[in-house]
Amino acid sequence: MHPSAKGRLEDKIAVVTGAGKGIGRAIAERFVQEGAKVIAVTPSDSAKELAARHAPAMEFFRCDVSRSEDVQALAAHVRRVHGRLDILSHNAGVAHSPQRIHELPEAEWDRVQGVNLRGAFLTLKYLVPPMMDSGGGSIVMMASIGSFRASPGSSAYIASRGGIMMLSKTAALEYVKDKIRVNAICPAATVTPMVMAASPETRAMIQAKIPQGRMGTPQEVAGLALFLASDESSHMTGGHYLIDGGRGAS
Amino acid sequence: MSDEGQVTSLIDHCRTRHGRLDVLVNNAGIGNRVQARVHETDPAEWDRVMNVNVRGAFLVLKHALRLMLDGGGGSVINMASIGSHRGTPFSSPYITSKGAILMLTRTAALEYAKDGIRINAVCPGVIRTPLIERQSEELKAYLASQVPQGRIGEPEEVAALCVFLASDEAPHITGADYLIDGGRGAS
Repeated sequence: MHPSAKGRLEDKIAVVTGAGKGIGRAIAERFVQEGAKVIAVTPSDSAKELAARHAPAMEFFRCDVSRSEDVQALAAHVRRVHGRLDILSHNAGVAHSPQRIHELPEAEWDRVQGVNLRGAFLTLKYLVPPMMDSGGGSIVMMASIGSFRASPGSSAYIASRGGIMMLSKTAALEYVKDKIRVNAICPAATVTPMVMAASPETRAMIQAKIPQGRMGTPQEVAGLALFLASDESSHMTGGHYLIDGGRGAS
Repeated sequence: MSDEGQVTSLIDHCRTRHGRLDVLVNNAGIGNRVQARVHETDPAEWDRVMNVNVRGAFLVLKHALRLMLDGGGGSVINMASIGSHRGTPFSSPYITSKGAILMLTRTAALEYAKDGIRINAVCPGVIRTPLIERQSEELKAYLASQVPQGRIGEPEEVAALCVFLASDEAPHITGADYLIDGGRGAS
């Protein structure tokens, strides 16, 4: 980490969803390095070991963001144990195997929207109130270049990403007077387990489409999440910020 | 900045004195002096704004890029505007120039991505610049009321974004436009 960047989130309470792997994990680790107290959220035990390694600066909370009772329990835990919430980094999301719309099973559509859209809605719905009561905060929603660029075979995922971006902007307008900033990050292909699960041919094709000639790293996305979460971005809200090696420019 | 001779002497100075150029903030720009609809806009006014805002940005970029290429990379920040994305009546020269800056940014980002040169645009809303400070309190209050955050942005807030984009914290960000507008662009 950059030496001068130390402690940019000193004493902040941060919830990071999707903290088990990839971008969410890198964000949770970076936030801890910057002095935040991080509640690492995953639906399975995947962030448990990570949290244990960074204890007491990081703690694990099991929560399936598509389940209302889980998210309400998370909000209650945050209030009870920490008494406040300053930062929410929402990364929980799922993808699906490439299929055209007429081939995509309804259950698969529902699964993706359940986590990606309903999960984002529930997370905002139940975590905004503790943030309001804390006098404000910063929310960073993980969207995608897919929020405004389509790709065939990914209808459910792409539709969910478009939804996340506009949900993020709507929330920014609704909570601006409560001093809560809400911004969306739009990465292109990033070196995450989700992307690395694709075949080598697919990955080579993805890489070739990025003007910089390489995928982004979770740590790079975490750098942007940190900037947006910190007070340095105090006039930025309702925005969507590309981090894509130039992919979105063409 | 619209005088190529002056731009080349600036970059030559940079080369002689420092040997390289890591960061360029392409910030020079002007507004239109008169508010007018398109059919009432004086072509001389149009040319004046385009000359500084678009030709000037092109010239600085052109010569700075040569030095950055020799140095093996760099980061460029072009000052665009929320006006790069949203129309505003009675300011066609300024708004058109800011739209052009955005597409110049994207085109240049694609052309130099493989050279390790990142090129991004910053798009501020209303910022407390000397031009805004000179306005009446009524107008300033009106401008602030148009921003969801209820206030005009501070130059230091834009500077913090420029530092982030210029720094090694942003190695994968290029060809992007970063709004800093207190929520104005969201609606």
